[in-house]
Amino acid sequence: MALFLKRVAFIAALIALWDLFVRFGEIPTYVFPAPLEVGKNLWTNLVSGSLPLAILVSMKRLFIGYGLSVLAGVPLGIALGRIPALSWSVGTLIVGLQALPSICWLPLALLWFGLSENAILFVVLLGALMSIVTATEDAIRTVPPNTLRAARMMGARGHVLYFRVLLPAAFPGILTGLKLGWIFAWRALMAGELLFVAGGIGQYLHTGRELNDMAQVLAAMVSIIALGLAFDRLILGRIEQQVRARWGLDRS
Amino acid sequence: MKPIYIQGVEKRFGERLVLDAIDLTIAPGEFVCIVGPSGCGKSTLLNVVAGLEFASAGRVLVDDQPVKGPGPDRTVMFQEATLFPWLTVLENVCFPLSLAGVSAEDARARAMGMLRLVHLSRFASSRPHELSGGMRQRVALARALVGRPGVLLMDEPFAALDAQTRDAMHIEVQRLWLEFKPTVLFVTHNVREAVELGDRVAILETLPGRLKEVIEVRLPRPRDPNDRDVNILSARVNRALKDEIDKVMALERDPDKTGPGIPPRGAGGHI
Repeated sequence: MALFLKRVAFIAALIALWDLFVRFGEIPTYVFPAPLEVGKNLWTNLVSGSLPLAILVSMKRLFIGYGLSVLAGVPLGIALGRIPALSWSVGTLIVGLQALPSICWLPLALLWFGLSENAILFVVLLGALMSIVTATEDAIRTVPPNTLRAARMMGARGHVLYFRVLLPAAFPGILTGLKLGWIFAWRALMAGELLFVAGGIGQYLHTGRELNDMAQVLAAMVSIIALGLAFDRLILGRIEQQVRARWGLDRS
Repeated sequence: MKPIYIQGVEKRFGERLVLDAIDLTIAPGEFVCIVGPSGCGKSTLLNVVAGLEFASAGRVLVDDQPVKGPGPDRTVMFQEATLFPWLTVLENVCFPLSLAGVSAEDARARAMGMLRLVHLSRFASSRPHELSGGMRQRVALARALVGRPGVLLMDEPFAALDAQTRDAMHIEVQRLWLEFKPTVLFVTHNVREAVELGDRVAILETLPGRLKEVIEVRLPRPRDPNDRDVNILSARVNRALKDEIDKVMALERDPDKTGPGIPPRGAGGHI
């Protein structure tokens, strides 16, 4: 709780500094609006329901795109970690694709799927996929060989070996990949929504830009940060913390 | 308890001959230790008996059945305890029973009984990472014995422990072995440990690994590592091993030379 208060105090100090900077720096409002104006914009859009709707639209895309990415990425990562022939072929491709920001797929996605929801889901899926696959592959490969040997000697094989030994042993590493994938999915979504305007927080930001309303642009940025932080701290971070404590990974 | 027949086992890794025609029969309930310099293939031999690796020639029979792969009739202990960090101590010991189809209630009772035997019942609900290295190995021992395997294979299980803990483990292992009488194949590079624990000590030659000598240890149990007879026998094993260790040392000084024909230490004037 003390830590939480310290964090709140830090953010409050940051906002105060921002306010002082704008107030005494003689910076025009249209270049860098004061926190109060950003707050006002946030409030208006929250009350009018347009911001909650934008958040809902973005979240829906994120959950579907990211969910598909997890469903595809984890099994693919396991296969890459277990089958050497896949590792040097598909694995190399994955590493290469990781260097490519997934938004680069948008033109092709628009061509393939049209101006539809599927195009943006495709971009989000690819945004998270590579890091989930690579982290899962790595987690599977670094399971201590003697852990698997001991399990096989106890009679574990086939799906028992996979579900009761290999996956739990690799779970902390897979979770790291899922967390990373979440961030990449989020970024891909924002890039997609900025370019391919059709609702969502990205469009909220884009509208601010078109109206030259920097308060709205900053308000969109603040909501993106707040949402990202909330998910990381409240859901993924908390799960990761519990898993690490249970697996005994925080001691060494 | 089951007999182990190692018959003409040969193992090659590519061109390199690691094990050469190993013949060794281990009687039911016998405790046999294998010593040899590092790299002599003693762990490979254990893995072949375990079914984790396959012999290039020859075969291994356990209780007249050829070994075709890993299986719960032979359990292993490694230098690391290889406990599963996501399970409690009790769940770890239950694991092999649950794979064997024992009901959860039964498995818990039996696992608890095993933990009592290794004096760790108080830690049943702890996680492996909360235990010391010696305690973890005791849990591993409980897990290895809970399914009453006929054969227990041990690959330097106490090499990572400190000397006091290791001595305590030696007493523990002898006590449990006398109680359950599995056939034990115990690989170590610690000669005194081998003499203290084994009914017989098999010495492996290196490059390639061949059976050099098998020494019988006819001493009453439980044995004291500081006992005079244990020391005399250890000295004998050490003498037999010395040539092999010299061979490894010579190779480390001059890695281009391989196989037989390495000059003895101090011979020749090459720098």
